[in-house]
Amino acid sequence: MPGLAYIKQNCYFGRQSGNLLKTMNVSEYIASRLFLFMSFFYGLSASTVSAQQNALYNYQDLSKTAYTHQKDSLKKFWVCPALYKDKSTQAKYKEFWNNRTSYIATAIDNNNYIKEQELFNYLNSILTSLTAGNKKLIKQQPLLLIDRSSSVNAYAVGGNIIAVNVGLLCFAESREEIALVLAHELSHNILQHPDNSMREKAEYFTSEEYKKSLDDILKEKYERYSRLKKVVQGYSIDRSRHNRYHEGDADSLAIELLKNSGIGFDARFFLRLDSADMQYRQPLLRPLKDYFAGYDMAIVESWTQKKAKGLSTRNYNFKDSSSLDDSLKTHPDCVARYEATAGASVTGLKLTPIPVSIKEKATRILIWNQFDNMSLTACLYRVLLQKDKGATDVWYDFMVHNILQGLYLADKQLNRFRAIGIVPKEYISKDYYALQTLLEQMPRENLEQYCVTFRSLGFWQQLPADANGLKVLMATLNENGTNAGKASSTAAKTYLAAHNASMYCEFASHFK
Amino acid sequence: MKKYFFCFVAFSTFTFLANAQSKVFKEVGDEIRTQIQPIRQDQSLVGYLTLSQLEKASEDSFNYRLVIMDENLNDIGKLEFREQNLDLQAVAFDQDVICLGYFKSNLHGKTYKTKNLFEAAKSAGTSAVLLQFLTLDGKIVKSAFIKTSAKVEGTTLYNSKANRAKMQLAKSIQVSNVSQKGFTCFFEDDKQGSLAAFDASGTQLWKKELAGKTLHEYILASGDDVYLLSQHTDREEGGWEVKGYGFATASEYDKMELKDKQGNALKVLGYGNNPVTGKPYLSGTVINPKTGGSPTVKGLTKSPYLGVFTVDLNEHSRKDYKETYSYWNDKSSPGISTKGRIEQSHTYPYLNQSFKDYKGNTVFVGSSVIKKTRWGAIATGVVLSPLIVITPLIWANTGFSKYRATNSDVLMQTPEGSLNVQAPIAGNVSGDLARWNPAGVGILKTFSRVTNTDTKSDYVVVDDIKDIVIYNLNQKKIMRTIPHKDGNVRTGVLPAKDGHIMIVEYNKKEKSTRISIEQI
Repeated sequence: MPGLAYIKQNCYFGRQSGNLLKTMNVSEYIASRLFLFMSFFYGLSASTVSAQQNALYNYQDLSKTAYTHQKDSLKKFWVCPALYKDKSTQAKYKEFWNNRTSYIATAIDNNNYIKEQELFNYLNSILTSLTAGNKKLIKQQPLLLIDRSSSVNAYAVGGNIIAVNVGLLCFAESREEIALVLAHELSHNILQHPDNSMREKAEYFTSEEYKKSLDDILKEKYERYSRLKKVVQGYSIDRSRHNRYHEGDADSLAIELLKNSGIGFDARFFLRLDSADMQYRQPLLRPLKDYFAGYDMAIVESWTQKKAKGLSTRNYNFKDSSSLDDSLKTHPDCVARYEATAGASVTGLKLTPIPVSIKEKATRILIWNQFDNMSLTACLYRVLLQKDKGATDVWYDFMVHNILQGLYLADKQLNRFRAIGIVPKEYISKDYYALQTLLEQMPRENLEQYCVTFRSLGFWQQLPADANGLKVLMATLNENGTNAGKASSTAAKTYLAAHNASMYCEFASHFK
Repeated sequence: MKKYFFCFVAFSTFTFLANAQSKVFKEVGDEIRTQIQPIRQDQSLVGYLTLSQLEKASEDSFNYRLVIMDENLNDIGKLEFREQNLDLQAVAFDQDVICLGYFKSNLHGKTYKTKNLFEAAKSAGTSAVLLQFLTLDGKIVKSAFIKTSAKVEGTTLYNSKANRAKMQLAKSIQVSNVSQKGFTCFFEDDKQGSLAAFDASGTQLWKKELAGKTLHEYILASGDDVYLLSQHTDREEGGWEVKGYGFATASEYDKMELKDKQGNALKVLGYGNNPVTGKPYLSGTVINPKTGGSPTVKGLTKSPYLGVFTVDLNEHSRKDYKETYSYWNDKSSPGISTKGRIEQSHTYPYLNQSFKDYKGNTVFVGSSVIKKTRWGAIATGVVLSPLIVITPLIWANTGFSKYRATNSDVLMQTPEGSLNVQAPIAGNVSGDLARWNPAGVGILKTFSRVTNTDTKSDYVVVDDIKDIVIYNLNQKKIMRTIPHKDGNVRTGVLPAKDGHIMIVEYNKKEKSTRISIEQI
């Protein structure tokens, strides 16, 4: 269901999974490649960063513009090789191959990736070290993509492409952790796991055994669904088992790659993997209303308490349906990974912290992306967590404004429910639950009033022109009246013309 | 911003392979039938439930999957089981137990190659009401069966000699929780009606057999009691009676035939629990014995109703039922003519809904019709009057008046019985209505009530001709106007949790459905 799906995606598959579902075979493959790496609360190592008035990135740094050339090259040069004499197997293989190409091309078109130079340089420098230390295994440095997803992940898709999620950058504590993730994904490419997987699947789906099992289902009168489920599950379990071996192989090779590159390895990294969704289970340091007091927003306590009757407020034996059966897991258990690699740990390893500016930038990119995707509760919660870490930059106040304006706009467009993304209480902290309840129950009249109040607060003077321009655009979007639609379109076009390089053009472009 | 998508997918397990093996997946997928039902507690929606018939498991049984969702459509429980053909008809919740009412039959939906085979099979038809009591995570606490007598009918399939068996109850199952006590259930088969009570563990407390053959029956749980409102078939719009039963003791309370003191029949528009007292009430209009009874559009201008009424069933005895009548035919209601015309707007109301508000008033809402003279037809007739045949034909065909549905009328009856005309709810104006059409069919406006128990506010949702209008009765203002059609998107509204509505948007171009639960 929507709320649940959100958290699930956020923790395991990230932003791209919506598209992935449409390209099923690629999705299955990429899911199997996910490294699923995470750290302890990232706040512990992050310190307050001074106000950054410079733009985080330009609109043109988003993949649709920044990777146009790469996308065209991909389509041109990723030609499916002729591997099979059997026509149906070759056709199936080509289908998987093309799905992979179209997945990457679509993700580029959807601006799922960003080429932010500072983050790119940082990650690419690690990739360069790994490539330089392993010249025999890595003939050519892979193309690095930075995925804007908040999930703590990285993935390899074959074709010498590696993608790292911004969520991973936010949560990793050290350069060594990121290097391990990159080395792991490189290993998948070196061991040709993505390509082998496509081949194996093409062979399986065109095998006589598989065809017969499906034909037999059509001949049956009863329990056809159960029989089909059995066939699919049998395949899935087999694939999952297979993938887990792959993950083990990739872990082993990753340690070798790190060693060859002179980068330290600590097996304890794997022990952190079990807390992927911790970010929404962290409590806030202060009562919720305190965060809004500075904005002249008097939060009524009862708005944070569930008033509507409903089964969500009842006690039930909740089962996390997002977790997979053990037999379907593509990755080995984290403890098993730790135990398998503990012997290779470098004793007394001194970790290199990730530069604060990198973490800060990654966090802001992630927050902005969540806002643009209208994941408003998650976005606001991250802003509040940043404030807990001492963030005082007015950019975060600007984002609180955007979130409230976005919520009011969503309410107007009958989209408030989805913008809040209600998540069952079992997945999240009490504070997150209170926040989503607040966003859900805050009366429309109060929300409208807060939007007006926010526009006259003092912090706007410290913000650059493009942010102030966005304030004007949002005020127009939230105006009512018979010509509201036309006025919104005109305002969006005006904004795009006046601030054509601003990262906020992404938001304006939805309304032009 | 434009990334919303949501629909009920019953077959997600296999989607990752779907593009590879479409034939098998399509065939198996086509066999899956899914029903969705709201889960209610104390007349409020608290969750949803989907029942998917996954496959035929044997000659007589199917495999089912049931998914329990909270009020935000998040899954909280699941159950898979095997049963005969089931039709899920009602769901209620109390004390952490969900009670589901199914109609179960062994022949419904089966096809027979010839009529003779169908006739031979008919005698083997059996049916029952199955009540399933579940925990929130989907464990069966208990199942109860009540044998029913349902006729087996056959329909010949189009372009074929095959016959499909059809079995159904005369009146569908209704299930309601009795707060902190258990559940009550009503249904009617071919022989009789049945009213039964169960505790929260699923144990049957009692069952009453009632005379069947009524037009409508509605149950209402109120405090420790269960009320049954029935409409008999012999009188149009009227013919209602109400009777209460003690949930714990099965004792029967005084029956009330709904008639005013002059013996005029009453038309029930509202039946529920008074939000102030928690006691049951009935409300509606007093039918004019001379001109009333399913009026036509034109008939609305001929005083089909004499006034409005409220009956408060305060106690169990007939003498304690408080009856409040407000008439307009005796000139006692200011702002309304003796013919029932609202003087200020010159409209004739066709009241559709009524309910008690949080101040104890009874609110009546409905469509209204405005009558205007057809000056064009009259003038044409006069001009063509030398042609003796033409003029009467024109006038007979068009009449001298035209009728249009316009803003919705709101009336309020105080507990003391004074009737006040409220500001109308601005709405869409229809084209000319055919004067001989029944008012209930010709006027395409429907009304439903939504409450916010927290703020004690009442809203009316008017499903109008072009728009859906949400009106706040306390503030007397329109909160939202949602167009039914916006480009490729068709929008509808369904009930949702307290203070909310469910918006269903179907995108014709993308062939996708988006569901959202929005603050009213």
